[in-house]
Amino acid sequence: MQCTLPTPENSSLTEEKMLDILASFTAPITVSNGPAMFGWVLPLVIVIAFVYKATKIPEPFSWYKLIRESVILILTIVVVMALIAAALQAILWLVTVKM
Amino acid sequence: MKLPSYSPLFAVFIGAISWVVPGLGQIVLGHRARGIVILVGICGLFMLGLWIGSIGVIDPVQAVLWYGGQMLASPVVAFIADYTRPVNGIWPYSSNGRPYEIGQIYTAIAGALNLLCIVNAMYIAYTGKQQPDGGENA
Repeated sequence: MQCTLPTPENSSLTEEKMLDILASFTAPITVSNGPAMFGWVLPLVIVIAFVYKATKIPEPFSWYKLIRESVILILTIVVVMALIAAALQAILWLVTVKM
Repeated sequence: MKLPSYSPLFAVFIGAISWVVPGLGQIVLGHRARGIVILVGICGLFMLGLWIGSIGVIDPVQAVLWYGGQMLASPVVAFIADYTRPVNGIWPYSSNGRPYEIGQIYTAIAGALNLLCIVNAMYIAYTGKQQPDGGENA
């Protein structure tokens, strides 16, 4: 069976868009090495919090309770990670500058 | 065929379908909202990981441990791995550096989260009740 690749002449706009979307998964995106890179932890923390809380919310299921508890967990993780980063930075400063 | 509930066999069946499609076990057991949150969360995280690092982050040759974690997300990962395996020593979808690391972390954590959800679905299937909360912020 002959396979015909879609070209601008034989493909619809939807097919082209689908191919564009699929193509975006075949090459890595550019990630900066600056402080903004730490922003990539946020989607991870958000999903971890929501999925974990989805398995823990007691019956009857409540969207309000899920969102409230997930937001508390997200804030807890982010704040604790920031405190740990600050503590490590302080230790680094003490070791490299003060000593 | 109606499967017997609260039996080990039923729990294994629920675990298997939860592995194939994250959250499906909870949906089949009637916990629809819970299942949808799991489905959207795990699939979204996995797809985001693939988008950041490309499908090259699924590397069953050089990153076997990460691949094990990714396989927990769904057996579909094995089909993607067929495309990303090296051919004559050349990786068809090469990925490296930060995007590769971030993509691997995202996809492997999606797998680890799915393991948590599989255990949760099997617990509900076997006992007929939701896992204990363990406190306000457990």
